[in-house]
Amino acid sequence: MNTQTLAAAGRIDIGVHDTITLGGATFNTDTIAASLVAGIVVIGLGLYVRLRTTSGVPHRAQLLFETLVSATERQVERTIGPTGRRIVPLAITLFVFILIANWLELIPSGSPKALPSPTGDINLTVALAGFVILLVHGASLRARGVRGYLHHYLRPSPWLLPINLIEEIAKPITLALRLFGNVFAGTVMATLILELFPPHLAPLPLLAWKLFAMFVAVVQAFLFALLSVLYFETALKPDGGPPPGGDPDDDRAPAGGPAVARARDEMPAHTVPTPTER
Amino acid sequence: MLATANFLVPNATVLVEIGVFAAVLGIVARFVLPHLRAAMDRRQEEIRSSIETARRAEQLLAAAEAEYHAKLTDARRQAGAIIGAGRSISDHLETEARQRAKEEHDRIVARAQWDIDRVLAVANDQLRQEAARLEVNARPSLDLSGAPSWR
Repeated sequence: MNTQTLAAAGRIDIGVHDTITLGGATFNTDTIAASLVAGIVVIGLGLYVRLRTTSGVPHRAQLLFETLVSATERQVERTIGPTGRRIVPLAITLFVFILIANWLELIPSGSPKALPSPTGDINLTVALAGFVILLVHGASLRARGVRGYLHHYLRPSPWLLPINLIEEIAKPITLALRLFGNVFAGTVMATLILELFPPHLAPLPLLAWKLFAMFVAVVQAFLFALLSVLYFETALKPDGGPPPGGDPDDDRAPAGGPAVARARDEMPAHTVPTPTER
Repeated sequence: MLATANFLVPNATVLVEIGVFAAVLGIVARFVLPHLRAAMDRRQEEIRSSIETARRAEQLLAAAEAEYHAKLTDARRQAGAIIGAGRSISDHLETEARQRAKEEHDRIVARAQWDIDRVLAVANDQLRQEAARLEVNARPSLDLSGAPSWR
């Protein structure tokens, strides 16, 4: 580290939020404001689409939403069946809301802190992940009943109870931290570029970084929504599965890559009825 | 410089954010997506019905084409019959005309022959009488012993 870097490090504040304290509880006002902006943008976009919805040739915004709807419906119907349609609004809202939230910071505003990405605050990502996981467990309880739900933790063998518990705990944590980490790192990078480069040179790397961050924002929003759908799939699909030995029903992969790959591999297996229906 | 409170530990903001997202989800799920879904279904239905209409039109076209071909074949057959009948009538007329012409020709030739014969006969008679008259006139004045006789 040279002196310039050190000087910059001294000037960079990370993870600092504007807060107010009400009755001992701390609220990050900047995050709340930014997430409200993101929410208003999503709702405005949705209502705009609703106003101009046509069964004729759709305009761009409608086409975007329709593509999202049909892609999500295909995904859930293939694995969960018609009951899976209930989670389509959740998946779509998650994707659009997170995408807009991720992109907020990329709007040129002079400083990364003017309109921060609310997804760069762990509070929003924990809220979203918790919201999703609560719904997942609720759906699982409703689909399997209390006995079936509890029994699920003992599958495929009671010895795996600790692993299953860890998996269930890891799901919301990984979901929240993955999104937070990516967006937060983007903010830190933008701040570093602004601080470390001379002002007349900074725009070029900043532009390059922001372009990349736009792409990362899409990937992260998609990943969050897709993983939520996959968690619903594991919670809702029938508990039968093939005979012991090779039980692909058990989703033991906590994070993105393996779970996605596994879900893809599983798809054909669930198109045929399972022989041992519980 | 890190913030005084650990920014990796969530605070009460989580609750507000759950509310914000739930509100967004509620509005989108209640007011936007059903509307969109209905429009998509309507379009699907329109496409289905226009495909149905197209299929019906295709069937109609096929039926009309079949009828056209049947009528065309029928018309060809009728035309063939008419042409055949016309040809046989014309053949008949031609034969008849030929026959009549030949008869007329024969008649004219016969008539002409008869005229020629008659003229020849008259000429012969006249020549014979002329010869006889000349012979009578010449006998007293000329000795025709050395000359060739007319007879």
